[in-house]
Amino acid sequence: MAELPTPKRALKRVLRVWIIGLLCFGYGPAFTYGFFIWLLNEQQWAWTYFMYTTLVPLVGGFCVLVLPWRSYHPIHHTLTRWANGEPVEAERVRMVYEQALRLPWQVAMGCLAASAIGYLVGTGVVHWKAHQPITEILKTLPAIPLVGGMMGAFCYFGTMRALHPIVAWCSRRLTQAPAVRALPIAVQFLTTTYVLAIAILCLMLPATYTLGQMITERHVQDRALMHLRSTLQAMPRDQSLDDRVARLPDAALGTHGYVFAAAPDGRLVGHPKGYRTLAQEGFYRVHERLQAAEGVWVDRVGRHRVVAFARLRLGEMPVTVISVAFPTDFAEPLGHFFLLSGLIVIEVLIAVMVFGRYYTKGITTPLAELTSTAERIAQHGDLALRVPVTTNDELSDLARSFNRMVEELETSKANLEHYTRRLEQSTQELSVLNQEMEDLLRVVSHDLRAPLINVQGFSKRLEPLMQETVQALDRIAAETSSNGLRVEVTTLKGDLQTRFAESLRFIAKGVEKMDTLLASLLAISRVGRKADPIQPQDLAAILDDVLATFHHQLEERAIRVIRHPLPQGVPCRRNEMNQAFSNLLSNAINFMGPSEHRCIEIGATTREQEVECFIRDTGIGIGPDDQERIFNMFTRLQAVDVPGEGIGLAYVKKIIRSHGGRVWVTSTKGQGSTFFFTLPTAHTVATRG
Amino acid sequence: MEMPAKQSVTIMLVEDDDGHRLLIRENLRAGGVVNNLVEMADGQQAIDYLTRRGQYHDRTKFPKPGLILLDIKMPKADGFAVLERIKADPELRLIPVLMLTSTDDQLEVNRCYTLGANSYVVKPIRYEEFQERIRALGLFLDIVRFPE
Repeated sequence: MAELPTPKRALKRVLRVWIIGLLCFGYGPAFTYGFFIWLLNEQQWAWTYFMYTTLVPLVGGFCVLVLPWRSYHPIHHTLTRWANGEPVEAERVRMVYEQALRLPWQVAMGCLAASAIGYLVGTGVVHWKAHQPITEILKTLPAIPLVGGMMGAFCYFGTMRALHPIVAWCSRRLTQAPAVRALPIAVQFLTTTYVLAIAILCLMLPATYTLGQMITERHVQDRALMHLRSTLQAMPRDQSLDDRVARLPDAALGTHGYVFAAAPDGRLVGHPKGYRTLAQEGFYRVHERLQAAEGVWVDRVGRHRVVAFARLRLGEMPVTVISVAFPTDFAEPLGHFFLLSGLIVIEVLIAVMVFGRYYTKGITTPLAELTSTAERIAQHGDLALRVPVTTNDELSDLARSFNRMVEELETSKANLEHYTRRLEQSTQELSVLNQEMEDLLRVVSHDLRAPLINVQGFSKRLEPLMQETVQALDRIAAETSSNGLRVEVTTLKGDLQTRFAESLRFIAKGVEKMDTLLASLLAISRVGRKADPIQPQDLAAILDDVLATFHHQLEERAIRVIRHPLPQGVPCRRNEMNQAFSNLLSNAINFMGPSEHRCIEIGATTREQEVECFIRDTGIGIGPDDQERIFNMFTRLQAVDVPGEGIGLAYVKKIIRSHGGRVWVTSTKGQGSTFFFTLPTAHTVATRG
Repeated sequence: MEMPAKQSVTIMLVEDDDGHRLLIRENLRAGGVVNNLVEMADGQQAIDYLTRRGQYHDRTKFPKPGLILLDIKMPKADGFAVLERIKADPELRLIPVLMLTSTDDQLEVNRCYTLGANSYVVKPIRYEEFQERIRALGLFLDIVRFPE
């Protein structure tokens, strides 16, 4: 998985995109336009140059770099904080994610704004300093969509790519990535294509226009001078000045062209508008140009016109004949060219729209099918659904992968269901078996008591009978005269008092033991019944009660008890926990052995999930082979003369398990044992429901 | 209301174990209870007796008991069934019933009370204790009023 880039690296990536965008797609076309404007009015090249080399870069650069930087700054700031080891909070990740997704669009808009502002400022300066007419300036207006569009499109995709690692990292961190509104793929594609198409057209059309205009100008220049020359040569030399002036309009070219004469003193003769001086025409640097014998130039200041001049000697006075022609009169082919270009542009745009739509539909339709299928699966869990594979490209690979994933899911789900069913079955069987076992235990312990009552009852009934018999035998022995009988009776009496009484005692002892055993079995069968609810208990208080019952025994055997704090509020059944502590303590006391420092230590560790209690003794210990076995029912370790039925630890195990805990022992033979048990805490019980 | 003589009250003992029956009878007698004692070996027989079914139709020969000692675990019909039957019958429902249980299982005791038993006696293993309990019944019979 890709790491989050360092702030420096991320910044470098973004800045690289913006600087390349500015240099290649901003200044590149801008210089093209500078050249174009320079061609349009050569005389003002200095100002044009100034505009495109200083003002536009300054304004545009400021807009392109500084405006997006304000949007990028929060991302950079957060990355720096994370790099310094501050905690990554979901809220911040979300902020960075959203900001990074919005940034490309903001940068594109910034590029467009930058080119518009740069253009307006630049052309404003040219107009102000060089008196460039507005109509001429407007011809360069396509510079805005060209520069802004190309730079914007490049920066949009470039920034998106530069920020991709950050967006991907954030998205993996967020469980639910927030939806940031973005343009649909079709719109993105069309916008990009249109921007590029328009940009190319914007670059191409003015250039071709300028070229066409230059060709037209050259044509008009040649014709104007030739026509002027031939008209003047054709004039008969003997004609009067007035006659000659009257024939000057013959030299005019085009529908709007006109011809007039200028005397050396600057006075005008035969001007159709009645101008008196040359200055009224407003030709640019006209006196410098009129130094030659004849010539022609294109005058772009004020009206766009071609000016041709030639000398005509009228007597002693050299007169300059000036012919003004308008290239617009000869621009019909140029108009056709523009009409053609316009049609081509419209066709290109329509073609882009139609093919773009087809093309993007080819991408978005399979994607939409994939999305709707995934959505249906997510909502209804219907894993039988499949995405149609309609293409043979990367999208079809995606669809096939998706289908394979769903297939895999279907198999896993089926397996899971199968095993869940089997598990449920086994659990049910087990619980039935368990229930049967408990029922058996209860019925057996219950029913075995009934005959026991009889054994006990009737054996007790024999006692007074024996006393009566003994007394009767005494009387017989006293009253009989037969020595043999007396001896016999006395022997019988002795037997009755010893063997008979002993038999009764053993019967009573056996019955009592069996009764205790049955009572324990019955108690085990009752563990975990609903009649005794689980409630938060103070384990220390329970231990208090238990220790009180063992007080005498502990004192008698000189056993020291070390108590550590036990937790409160532990959910358990009080009576059962009482029993568990009681059994464990009773074991610890009974198996204390001949140790010198007899000691029992009781304590607990509280964790989030469970409470772990321990009861440590300095007793005889348990060998490693027996440490599991002792928790089984009726297991008594041999060669120990301690009363018990081997039920105590099984009882403890059943109690702890019914609470959802575990019980185990660690021990070293001869050095004592530590019994551990755990109980789930209130937190765990609550989360388990 | 005149207190009926102790002797006039018939005590019914329903107990399937004949050993227990014998021990209870002997201890009742030893405790000074001289009442007429009717012994039933199972629940069904007790129900038949109480509802005068079959051979028990004659009330003069088989009088209605004034106290029933009822064991719980019995074949055919257990103590709970008999108790339910008694409490459902308007004629019998006022007869006090003492349940004889072999354990002090709280569930069992609760069930006895829910079904309307008046008290319960645990059959103890320690003979002396049992003796005491049954003999205490003699005292009980002295102080309790029985319905007609």
